Amino acid sequence: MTGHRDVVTCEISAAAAPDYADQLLRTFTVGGPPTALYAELHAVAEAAVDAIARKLVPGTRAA
Amino acid sequence: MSVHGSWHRRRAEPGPLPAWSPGPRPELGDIGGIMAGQRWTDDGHLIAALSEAFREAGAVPGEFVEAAQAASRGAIAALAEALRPGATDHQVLALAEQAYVAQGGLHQIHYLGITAMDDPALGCRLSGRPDA
Repeated sequence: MTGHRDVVTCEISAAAAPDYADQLLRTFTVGGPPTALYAELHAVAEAAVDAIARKLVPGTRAA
Repeated sequence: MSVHGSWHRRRAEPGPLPAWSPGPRPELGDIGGIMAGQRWTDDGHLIAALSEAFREAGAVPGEFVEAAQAASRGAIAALAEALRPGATDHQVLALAEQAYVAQGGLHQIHYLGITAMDDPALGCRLSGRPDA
């Protein structure tokens, strides 16, 4: 159950057809801004996502 | 403060869901900037690039990618709208699902973690790993 000053992390992957899904992950806080810890955790995660996105060019390998 | 969303302490309670109405929503902290559209814009650029790449490769219809993106975005927006003290995870996820199922979208994965910011306790135990 959601309470005051909770943090909510979620993944929703809805699909347009079997196996054709889009994955979204988001974080929300309820009743106030994020604590310093959660703000830092999110900043680290977002920096990692942005770094990966910058590498998504033809020729890039996963390894 | 009570701890919410601790998976290893989660307990099913069979029976009808209690009546629930949204009520007033408190301030909602949006760490990812989704309500301001920041990440949506970024994601939109990324998805557009991916869709074009898929089209060129002929591997996956780009329309499928865009439709799936719209479905997931709608679900996240509905989920955020449902968040308020007293809302259960079942209620929140039901509203999220309704947003895209009604439009023909399909369920793939839903994960929802709710815990107190000041005393977080959100974890899981792996099967066969009682110490995990």
